[in-house]
Amino acid sequence: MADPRPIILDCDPGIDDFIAILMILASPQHFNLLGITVTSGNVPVEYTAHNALRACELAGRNDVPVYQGAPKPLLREHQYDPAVYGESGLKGADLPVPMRPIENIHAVDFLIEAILSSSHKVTLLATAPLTNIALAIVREPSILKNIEEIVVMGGAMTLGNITPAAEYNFFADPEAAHILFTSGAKIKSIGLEVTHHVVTSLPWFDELDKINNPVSQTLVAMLREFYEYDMKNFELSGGAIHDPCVVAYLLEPELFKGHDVYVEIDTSFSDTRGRSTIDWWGKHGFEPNAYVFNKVDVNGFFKLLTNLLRQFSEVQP
Amino acid sequence: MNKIPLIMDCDPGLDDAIAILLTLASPDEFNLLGITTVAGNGSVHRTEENARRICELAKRPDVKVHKGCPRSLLTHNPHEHTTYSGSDIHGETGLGGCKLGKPTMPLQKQDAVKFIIESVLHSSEKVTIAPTGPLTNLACALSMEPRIKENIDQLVLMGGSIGLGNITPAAEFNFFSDPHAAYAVFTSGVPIVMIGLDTTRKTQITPEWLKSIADLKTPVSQGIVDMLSYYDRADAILEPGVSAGVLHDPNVIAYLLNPSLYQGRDVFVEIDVSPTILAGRSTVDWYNKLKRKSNARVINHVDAQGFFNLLTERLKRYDH
Repeated sequence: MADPRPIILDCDPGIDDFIAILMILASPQHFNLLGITVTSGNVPVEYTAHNALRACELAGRNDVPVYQGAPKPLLREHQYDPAVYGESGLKGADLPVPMRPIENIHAVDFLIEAILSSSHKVTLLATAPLTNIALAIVREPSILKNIEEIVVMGGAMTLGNITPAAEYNFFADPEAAHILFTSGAKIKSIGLEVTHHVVTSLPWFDELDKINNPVSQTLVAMLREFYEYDMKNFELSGGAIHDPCVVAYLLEPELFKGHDVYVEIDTSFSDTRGRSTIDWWGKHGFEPNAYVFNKVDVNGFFKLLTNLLRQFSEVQP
Repeated sequence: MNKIPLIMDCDPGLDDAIAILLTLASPDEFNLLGITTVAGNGSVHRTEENARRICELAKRPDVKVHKGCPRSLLTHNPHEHTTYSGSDIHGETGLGGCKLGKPTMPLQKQDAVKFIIESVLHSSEKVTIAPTGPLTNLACALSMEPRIKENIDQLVLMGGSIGLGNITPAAEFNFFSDPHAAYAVFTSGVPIVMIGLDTTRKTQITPEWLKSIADLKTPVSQGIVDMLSYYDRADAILEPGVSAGVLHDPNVIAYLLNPSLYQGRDVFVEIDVSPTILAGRSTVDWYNKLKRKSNARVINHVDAQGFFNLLTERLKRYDH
């Protein structure tokens, strides 16, 4: 088997990012996690930093460094949305204040240093507004040469979730998303067309209950709390778990299908701000700048996630 | 009088070079914390080298020069393009006919954005920043660490225009080069003094003034003459109505040295970030039609004679 691939997760936990972190930590044979960087998301960056530390602590992995990043987008003020995952970002979880502090290095500085100094190309997993990664690209574009690929949760081909036009991560910092999609980096993009199929169900919660380790117990408590939110807001059959798709793709790429396409991010100050226009049929004739997914094997996804959570039965946090 | 803790954020550039020389000739007024550079009139490699060249010309190899962002926040879409090159205006080197060799003084390891954040956060007095290039470095610093706002006294910047632009009919070069960065800075809440083309067009070099500098017969004066003799031709490319070189950027330092040379008004300014021919335009609500809270003091008049007197008096201080 190949060496574990060096990765950095840029996230804003958030329940679904929290699960993504645990999936990575359950897969040390696949991933060499150089660090976790955080930005503001549904809740402020101080909270997302704490939540990333909590995920590591729950997994017994206090060796993973967590770097706090930009508290606000490039242009405008940040828009919080605590209704989604609660004031703490982890509604339903009863987790203690983290024992250790965040690293004393800014996330953007860490991204630049870690990517430039890595002996192997680094894969970025981006499950938050893209401010940190955009700032790193603008300050030091030479990092692009040592990035293997950037797997992004963001965007939508059709309806958005924070506005009718836009998905939350792209809406929160459209200029940062624009910088990423015009950077020339190899981008794989997983949007709402995929993640709105990856929804929780009561039978799956029962399955998690049977695993009954500290990680699965915490997750199932949070996911039960979140179960009805997407039903009410988006007519889904359960709670969508967006960000874990990024990790699942890297572990089992055959679960996902898509196209090479041209994507443009709307940075206008209008009702369509943050929209990702995806030229699925190649109408513009522009060179593709991303591989955009539109299909996922949902059963395969949940089988993978369930198996990963079983790994934690051996852990003593 | 207390010295002003100052960071110059620039893209030398001929007129930036004169601004640096004016600062370094005024050690009683300024505590120059460092010079940060950005891509603009030339690549960031070119502009940081030029900043060091000018410091060496002024016999100040101790000045900390930091290299900043090599690009703007957003870049044009692949299917769009611009035809402008900084070398059209400022010559191949960015310093016109300057004969200075490669600099030997060190470039600081820390990049400009990090330097701005660290030096502002750790300064015991509020810091003044004098941007004379595209505002990319500042926009990055404000996004990474918004707390710097609390310790910035003011930004006195060269950029924008109430009226016509120079790089496009709508926009002045610095704002056009990174409209999004300018937007971020103008919406940040930091006190801003904006000195735009309406003012700087009034400080055009005359042959008589250039001769008075040449007559100083010092290495610095010779360096200035070599640079500005080229510039004489340069602005004509941007603005056919302008016959001589315009000293845009030194106005920022002159303002800090003697604000009474300038007149202006507290107004609301918005920067156009649309991907249209208006990109980078500064709309200045001079008559307060929109009734929005002012976010900048916009200068519209300079005592040009006073400006040149000040500049000459300071440049005479270089005895080498």
